[in-house]
Amino acid sequence: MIDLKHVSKTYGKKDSEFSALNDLSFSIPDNKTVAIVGKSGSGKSTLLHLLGGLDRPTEGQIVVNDLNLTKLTHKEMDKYRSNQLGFVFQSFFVEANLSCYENVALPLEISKVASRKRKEIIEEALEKVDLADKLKSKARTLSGGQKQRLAIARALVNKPKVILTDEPTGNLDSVTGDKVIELLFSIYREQKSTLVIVTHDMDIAKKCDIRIYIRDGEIERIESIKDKDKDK
Amino acid sequence: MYWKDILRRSGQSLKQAKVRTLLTAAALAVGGFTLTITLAAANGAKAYGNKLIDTNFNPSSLIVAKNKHIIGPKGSIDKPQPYNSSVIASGPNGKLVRVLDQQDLKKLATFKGVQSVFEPYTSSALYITAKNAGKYTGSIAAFDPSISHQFAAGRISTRLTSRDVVLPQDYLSLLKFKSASSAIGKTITVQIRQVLGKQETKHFKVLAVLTAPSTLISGNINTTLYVSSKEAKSINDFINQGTINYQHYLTATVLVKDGTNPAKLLATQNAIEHAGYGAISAKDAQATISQIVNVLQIIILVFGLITLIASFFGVVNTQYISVLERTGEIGLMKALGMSNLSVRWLFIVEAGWIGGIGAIFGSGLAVIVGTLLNPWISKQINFSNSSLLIFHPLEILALIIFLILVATIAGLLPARKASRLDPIEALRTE
Ligand SMILES: Nc1ncnc2c1ncn2[C@@H]1O[C@H](COP(=O)(O)OP(=O)(O)OP(=O)(O)O)[C@@H](O)[C@H]1O
Ligand SMILES: [Mg+2]
Repeated sequence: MIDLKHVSKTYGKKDSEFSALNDLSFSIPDNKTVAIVGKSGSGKSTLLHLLGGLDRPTEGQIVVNDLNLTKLTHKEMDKYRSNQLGFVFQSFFVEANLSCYENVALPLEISKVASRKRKEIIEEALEKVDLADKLKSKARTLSGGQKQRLAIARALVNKPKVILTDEPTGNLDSVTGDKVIELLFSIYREQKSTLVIVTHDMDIAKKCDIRIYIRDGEIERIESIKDKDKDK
Repeated sequence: MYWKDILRRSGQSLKQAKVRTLLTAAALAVGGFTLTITLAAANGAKAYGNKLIDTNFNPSSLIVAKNKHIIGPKGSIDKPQPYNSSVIASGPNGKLVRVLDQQDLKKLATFKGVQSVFEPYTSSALYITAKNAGKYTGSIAAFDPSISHQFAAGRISTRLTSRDVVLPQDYLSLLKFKSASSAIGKTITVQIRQVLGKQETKHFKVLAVLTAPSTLISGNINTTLYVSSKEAKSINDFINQGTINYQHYLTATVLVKDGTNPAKLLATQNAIEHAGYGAISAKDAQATISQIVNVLQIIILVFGLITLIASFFGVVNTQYISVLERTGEIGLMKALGMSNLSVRWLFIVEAGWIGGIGAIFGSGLAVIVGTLLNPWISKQINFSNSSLLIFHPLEILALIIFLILVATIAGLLPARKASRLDPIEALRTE
């Protein structure tokens, strides 16, 4: 459950204040796919960063899975991110000179998973994104789509309750992009998590249960699709 | 994050920038090299000094002089003095020094704990010769049984009689002796001369032949013939008769009973010093030598430290670049929930690795080069069979830890920068 109440985000100081998000309130039940849609500069990434605890709202409250993010300390926020979230970004942020294995190991190291338990978990995650044969390959030798799949493996390895993705297909061609989206959806179904996708691609947005349209930092409208409609 | 993972991850990021890492480490290695060599040289010099004193100075004896200060600039008198027979000009610059006379020698024997007082009565012979041999220079001194000697032939069972002489090995061939053993019992002639020209010829029988000592405290031991104390005194008196040096001596050696016991040695030393004499023990002499070595060592250490300061800034610079280069990566690690502290440690440890690599390279190279060159260096500076460079493993280990610490401290500021990066800003870099 993700719950926002009167959330605003303002950048800058008094004279040059800029309101990136203005009085957002909505709530997302568990196990849904959510698209955040809007023009460039509308505030999509800002909203995602607030949900991901990378930034704090200037006003309002955000509650994710009973955690009131606005009240968490720095340390608790780190824990929230490493235990509950998976991030996938437009530019993949994989460590080029490390192996796929090492890349996927990072979240496990951060959340202090004992090293002897890691191997199995990592292999399973790479299996899911179809990179099992690239275990020892350096990330720099991968194609764009493979890099993004590696990033997805890294995001899912901790079995997060919420996966936050910001334009995951932005750097990929449409065929590869479709495959990546397909992969994200299959993982969402398997792990029973909440999947949030920031996108301006309406084809992707249409696949989601909930679509939040943002314009100039405000919610334009929210579309929710009944389960049976989605199946058509 | 576990320490193990932080150590591994920081090592991995160094591998990604091998050339930069090695160049930065090289700067530290120069410091490590200099410091290792300096420490080793100081060790060698101190060890040599100790050996020098051990082989020339009986540890249970004291060297006593009329002056309070035997060693150092205070040993001589700078100002004119009222006439006093115990003050004479001596030394290469004709400096004024106080000297011991016969009364002093007698008085020294009365101090508590004194076993014997020994005066070497060193004099220069006009020449030394033997049958069918040429004339050679040499000096005569009393044989000191309290110093350990090595003999090539013959030995000294009791005391030397007035006819006995102990001959240094170097004279064997000059005086036409076939070998050390064949010289034993042969006669040599010592010619002495007074200032006014009166000469005397003395004949001695070779009792033993001395091998050259491994370390020399001064050059003349190789050319000193040892005779009995009584003979040495009579020669010394003959030569100095009518001069100001007559029966005056710069120093005497006082043998202390049970002097190997430091407390007893010190008690006698204090008593002698209390009476106005100067007295030093082997330990004091060693301390003086190590003091000189320490001063030299500090001077070189300062230069080593200056190179360290330069490499300190090298590490700071490298780590700043490393942080800048990996902004995106830092943002990602933070987004994944890595704590600021872990990020900070990641970069501090990375700097520490650079320090470790530099230190091990530098010190390792110093040990290898030093070990290979040691025999050659010792030969060049006439260090007989001692090593100039002596490496102590613990000392090197401490140095390596010190260098790691220096690099770690250099990594603090860049690491702080990394830990303070805003993840959102950082993730915007690509
Ligand atoms: N740190 C900041 N300081 C000032 N303004 C900011 C800051 N971060 C974002 N903004 C502004 O907030 C607005 C929303 O930015 P945001 O990145 O959320 O847009 P977006 O919807 O993700 O756009 P895009 O589709 O191009 O990624 C923009 O006008 C941006 O300039
Ligand atoms: Mg954006």
